[in-house]
Amino acid sequence: MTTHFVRQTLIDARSAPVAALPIATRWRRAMFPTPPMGALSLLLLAVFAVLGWRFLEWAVVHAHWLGDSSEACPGDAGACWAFVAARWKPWLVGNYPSDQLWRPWTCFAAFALFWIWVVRRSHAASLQRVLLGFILLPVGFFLVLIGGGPLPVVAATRWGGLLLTLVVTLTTFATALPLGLCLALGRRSRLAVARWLCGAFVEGMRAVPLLAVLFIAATLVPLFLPRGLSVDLFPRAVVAFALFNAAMAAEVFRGGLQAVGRGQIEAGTTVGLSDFATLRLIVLPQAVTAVVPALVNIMIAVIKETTLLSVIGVNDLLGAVEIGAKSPDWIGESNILTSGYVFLAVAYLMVCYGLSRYSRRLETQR
Amino acid sequence: MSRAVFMERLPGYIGQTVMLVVVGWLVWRAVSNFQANARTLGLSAGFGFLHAQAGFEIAQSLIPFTPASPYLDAIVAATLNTLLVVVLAGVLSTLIGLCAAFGRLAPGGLVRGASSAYVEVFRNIPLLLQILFWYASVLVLLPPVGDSIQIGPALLNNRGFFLPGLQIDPTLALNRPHVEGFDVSGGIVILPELMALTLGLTIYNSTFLAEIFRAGILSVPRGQIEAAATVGLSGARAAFLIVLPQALRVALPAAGGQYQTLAKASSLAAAIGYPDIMQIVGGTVASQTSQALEAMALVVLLYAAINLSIALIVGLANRRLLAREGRQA
Repeated sequence: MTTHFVRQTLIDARSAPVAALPIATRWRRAMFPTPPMGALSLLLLAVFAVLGWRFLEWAVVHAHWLGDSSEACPGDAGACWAFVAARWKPWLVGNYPSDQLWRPWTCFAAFALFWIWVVRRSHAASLQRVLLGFILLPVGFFLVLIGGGPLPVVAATRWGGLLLTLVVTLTTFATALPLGLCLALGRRSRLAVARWLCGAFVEGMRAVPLLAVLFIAATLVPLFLPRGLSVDLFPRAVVAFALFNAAMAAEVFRGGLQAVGRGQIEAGTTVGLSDFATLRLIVLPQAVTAVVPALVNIMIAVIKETTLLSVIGVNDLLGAVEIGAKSPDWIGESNILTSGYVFLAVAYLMVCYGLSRYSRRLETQR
Repeated sequence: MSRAVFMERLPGYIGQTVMLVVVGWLVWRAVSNFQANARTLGLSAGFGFLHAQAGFEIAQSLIPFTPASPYLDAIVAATLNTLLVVVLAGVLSTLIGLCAAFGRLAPGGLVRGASSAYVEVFRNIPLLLQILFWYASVLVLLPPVGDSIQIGPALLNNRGFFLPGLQIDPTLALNRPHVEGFDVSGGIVILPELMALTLGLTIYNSTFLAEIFRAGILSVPRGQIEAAATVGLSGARAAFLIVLPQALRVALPAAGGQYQTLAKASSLAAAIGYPDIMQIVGGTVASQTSQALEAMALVVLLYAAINLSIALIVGLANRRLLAREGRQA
């Protein structure tokens, strides 16, 4: 008797694939491809149903929509949207003087228009105008918001909420990017001192948490300034923020610069371009274009990091919510604070998710 | 060096000298300002305070610590607390990240959708907001000690999660936590601060790790999976034996960077009062001794050391992984 290791008879032919499967079959294949996966799907479905219903109950069915103090939101069965609605002003602009509110509104509108233009413009257009806009916009914001001349001066301590978050994000972006580019170039410099200084700065910043840098800016920096010279907490925090993110941007730019082949630089030198001209005309356009999606990711990180300002006592969006929940009118159930957190989470989620989609679009368009 | 070469390099030499002079001048100005300010404010300098009595309590300490212990012990305890939360969150976020990464590549539409939604939602909400949410919105809902939730031998209430601990003295026994008046005695306690911090860090980092692992898994050539199917390995065995080892090799350097980010992000403990390096050294010690410079220097050094150790460990693991594959690092 012989043992066969090879099949003696043919397997039946598989039926020809159907071009368009009926919806029920497609649905079944998507949801229940294999028994364990199907069980997992069912479990997930059950969890979603329960959690979704509980959230809906909390956020809509039992929610309190109107009122101007914590008495409007008894118990913790439903969200307290009245808290969100009643405190819109400190959330959007902080303590900005009420009769000067047109100034922040102008800034918000200018930013919205600018952003619409950035997203809608064709990707073939040059990057320069976008980058220029990102530098000019914060400068304009500072001029309009602080005032001077015909406009009454408003101290930065009165800014807050979304306005402050937006200003810090844009200022950080406008200062950290050029500085990061300089640091990245410095690390590739022929000069040993520049290489060493830039490398030490970038690696030092990357080894330390942002919160520690902010703590140093808040508590230590005044000790290093000359006597008589005092700088407000807000500018110190913004500078710390910008320096920290410059180190992050430097790493991104370094990657971009490395992506430009050595042959490009040599070709530039061969046709007689000076070092600077090679950099400006050959290297930078390629390097910067390559890292644009990564720069958008840095912007997302900056937006999320602005929440840390509330820890050192700068009144950003998160700080405004926390101060709001501690104000005499709204002190009470933790549910009120939770409503603020959920609202903020949704707001940050929409902005950051939108930006990450935009970054991905840039990546695939290239 | 010929004269021509020297003339060509001269601007560089001048530039470097100017750079050094400017940086040196800034440092010198800062130091002299600091000395002048410290004199007017009557601050003392140096690390002598490390051996002085700390005089404060630490809510959670892995080493014996009392208010009579020196500041040095407080710093060690705080460092251990940071390491504890980093290791906890690191392990948990790796597991969840792997699940989410495989989930996003799974054939089932619902599983894939749920994994994608998880990643996209939690990576786009600021970490601080998530930690505060778990701490101030979710964990405050836990019942008081009297109405503790009993999970097996463990107790869960607004004072923390009380696990049974092993007791060696006088006899080896299981030390079960039990309610005593308004407090719980016995067992090991996991503070609400630690729970909130671990939850926030774990969830936030797992989303980034999931993306890193997903990129690693996608980098494994399709032929490898088909070859696994050909030799008869089932889906799960192919995933663990064929795909994962190769995916890890690609993902490990990026994952190492993410673990460093996690260690730095653990400093957000200061926002909810978990006694870590930032809270104890940068907060309590700095304000009690009013030696903010020394305290912040310690904070910076400790975080840099933790970051460096993570880089070293990941580097070693990477080299071993490559060596096992028969390749040179």
